[in-house]
Amino acid sequence: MYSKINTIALFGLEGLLIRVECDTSNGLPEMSMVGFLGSEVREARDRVRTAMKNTGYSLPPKRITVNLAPADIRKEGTSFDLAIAAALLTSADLLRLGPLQEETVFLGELGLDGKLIPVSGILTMVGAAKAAGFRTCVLPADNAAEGALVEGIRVIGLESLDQLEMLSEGVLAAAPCRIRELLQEESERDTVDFSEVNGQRAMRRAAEIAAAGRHNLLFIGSPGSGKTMIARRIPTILPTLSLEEALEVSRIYSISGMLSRERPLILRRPFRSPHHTISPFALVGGGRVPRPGEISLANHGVLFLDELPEFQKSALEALRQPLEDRVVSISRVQGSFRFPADVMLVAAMNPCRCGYYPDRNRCRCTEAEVDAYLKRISRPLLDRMDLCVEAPPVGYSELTGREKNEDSASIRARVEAARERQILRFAGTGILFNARMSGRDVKKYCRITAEEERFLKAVFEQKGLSARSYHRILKVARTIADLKGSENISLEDLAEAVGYRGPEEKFWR
Amino acid sequence: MEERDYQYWLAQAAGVHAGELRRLLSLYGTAQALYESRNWPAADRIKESAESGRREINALLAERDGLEKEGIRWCFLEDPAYPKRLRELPDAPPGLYYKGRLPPEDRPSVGIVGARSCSAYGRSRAEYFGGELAAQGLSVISGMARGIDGYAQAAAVQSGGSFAVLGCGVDICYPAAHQALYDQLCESGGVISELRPGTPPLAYHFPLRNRIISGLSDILLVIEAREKSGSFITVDYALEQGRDVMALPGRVGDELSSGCNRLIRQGAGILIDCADVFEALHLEFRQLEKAGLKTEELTPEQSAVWKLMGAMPKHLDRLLEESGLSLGELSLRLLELEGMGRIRQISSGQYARR
Repeated sequence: MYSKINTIALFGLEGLLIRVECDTSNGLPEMSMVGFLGSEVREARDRVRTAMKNTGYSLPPKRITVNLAPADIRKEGTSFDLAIAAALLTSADLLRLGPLQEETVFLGELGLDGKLIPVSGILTMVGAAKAAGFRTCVLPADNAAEGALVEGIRVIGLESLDQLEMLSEGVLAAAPCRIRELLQEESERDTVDFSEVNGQRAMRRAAEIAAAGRHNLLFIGSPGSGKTMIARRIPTILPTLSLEEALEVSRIYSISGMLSRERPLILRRPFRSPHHTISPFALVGGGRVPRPGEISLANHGVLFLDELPEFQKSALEALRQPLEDRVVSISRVQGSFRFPADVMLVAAMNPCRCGYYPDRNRCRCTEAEVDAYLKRISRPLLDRMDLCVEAPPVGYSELTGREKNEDSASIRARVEAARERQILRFAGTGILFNARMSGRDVKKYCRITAEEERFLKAVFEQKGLSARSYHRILKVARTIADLKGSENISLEDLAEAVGYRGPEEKFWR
Repeated sequence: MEERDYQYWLAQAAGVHAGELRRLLSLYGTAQALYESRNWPAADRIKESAESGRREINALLAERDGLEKEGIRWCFLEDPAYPKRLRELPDAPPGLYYKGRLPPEDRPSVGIVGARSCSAYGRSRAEYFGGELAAQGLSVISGMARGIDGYAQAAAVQSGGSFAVLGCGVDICYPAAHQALYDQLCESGGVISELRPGTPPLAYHFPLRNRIISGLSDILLVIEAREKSGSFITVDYALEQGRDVMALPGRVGDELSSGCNRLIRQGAGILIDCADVFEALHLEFRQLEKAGLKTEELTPEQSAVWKLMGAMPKHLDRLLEESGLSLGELSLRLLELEGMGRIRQISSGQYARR
């Protein structure tokens, strides 16, 4: 007898409808599986058969053929087990699903004991099922909370294979959609706060500006000056994630298998800090079956690269295109995969190899060595860093600091106000932040007076700046003015922005 | 062939063994006589190279003429062009190659040496002494090395009185990063070396080169030097050659100044400003009209920030705290002061007086 069960295969951040067909016919007892299967899918044959035996089903001694259609797409992953089992059972007439069979999607991996094992990528797969018009989704109980985040589709979690029979009886309750509840609970507090940072006014200020205009930020400073400490706190001053953003972030974490079972919605902005030995593929994503890299895991959050010059050159260069397009595209034979990569890049580095330049009592690096160290970072990457700020060494009084420091919430309020201004200004243009303005937009939105023009010209001649830094300075000045709540860029704003130029501008001469 | 040609042959044979060359010349009177003598009396040291040079004399002279076409000139010990200050020295180089010109004899000359990895303080002082002394008409002699040497020479070259003594052939720019300075020196100052053009910069050339720096100088200024510094080789030569040595004092405990401070303790002259140099040279010092920028009056706002700055780099955070200004306002003042040439941005967040 022929039977057909629906399931979803994961391709990057997209789900593809797969039909599991099963036919039981007379012939030598054998079970074969076809449909361009990866090895983990082929192994499902033994898993499913044993799980069924241990659940108490005995398969008829017949020739059984299973096909995963469409057969020209390679299937990977273990989420097909449950669908295969359901197809076998219905085909052998051991299970009757009735009308449910057509309108249901089955997802999940089976253990040999018949228990259902959670799989990753549920959020994406259930979303795809809903988009394809299915009304019910059956999946492992451990994945139920995550699946239920998708509204408009009934999600039923199963503990084990024997519960399949209860499906048609309608006694299994659908998992409740907890999305509102989770959003309410958002007060889940950040574990770090800006109030813990003493002193470092220039760095704090740069972090605030960068957060407000979504500028990329580079910290230069000696070891122990608090670069990492501040970077870690930047997500706490970014505006809170919207529901849409939260779902997008959660989807990426879901396919990477990094989502918590109980709280499957990520509400905090991600902060990813990969070690500098990371490979280019781990950073931007890749692999035979492409998986999101650190830059996608940091989507809508902060990607922090500590010890920037120590990163492999190839890894850093691989970042350039995603930083520009805010999406990673990876092409494979199976097709092209796209992972979002909308990050704020924060990087930290020492001023020289020993880390103490220009303190000549500690630093013995020659100027050529200092230059060589800075040159390890390519110009195109430096060009993408809008703000660059140097960290002074921390003194004792700052460590003990009795002064009360501003906390993240009050900084965030200012950042959010500046974001509001940007949203209003750029309404309908598709630009979201000041950092995303093109040369033409800069001309349009960063108007300066004749006096300021003269000032900027003088600075340019004196410092020998490039056209690119001209735009960068104006963009940063725009954000500084936005933080003040002013529509006009003042001379002070420009002067401050000039101070944030990167080390490529030869001011270390 | 004339005496100058024979001298070229002899200088090539002698290499750096100036003593040998002098002994031979005192015996024979002229290089020509020595060349024509078949009975070679010299020590084995230069005999072999002299013999091989004799065989290739035409190639040798052709090479010299070729160099002259490229603007590299050569003078020998007895040459009227040869610097008098060097000629007196027992270990004077047998011949000198130079591009541009040699330091004029009628003007006092000042050697400026110091650390390669210098501090902002050393840099500002090197530029001050180099620039000011050259503007006063003195010749500034140094080694075109990184750090103090380069800064002093770059400041001096604008007045044309800047001369570099290299540890390689004069046709090689070492360090390569000083290409622009090298070009300027060839244009309006001089680049000098006793080494044959094409000679690479090898470590052992530099200590010997230092004797020419001190030899060409009437007085030697040490700007910044650590306890164990290559500058002391130059200082030792200077003392041997009877030149005055002056050292720039630094803060006690500052590693980069410890060498200078020790020199002062040992009796070196204390170097504060250009008047000190003139006094040591027994010259009359006349304050130059400071041209342009530096005399510009500061506004009260600028002056408030200026007063907070010193020769040591100060971080923006500290300036923010001390001035009580907003970051924007402070940045503006700093940019203005920098535009006036009063201060310098040392690294992205650090500023110091120039």
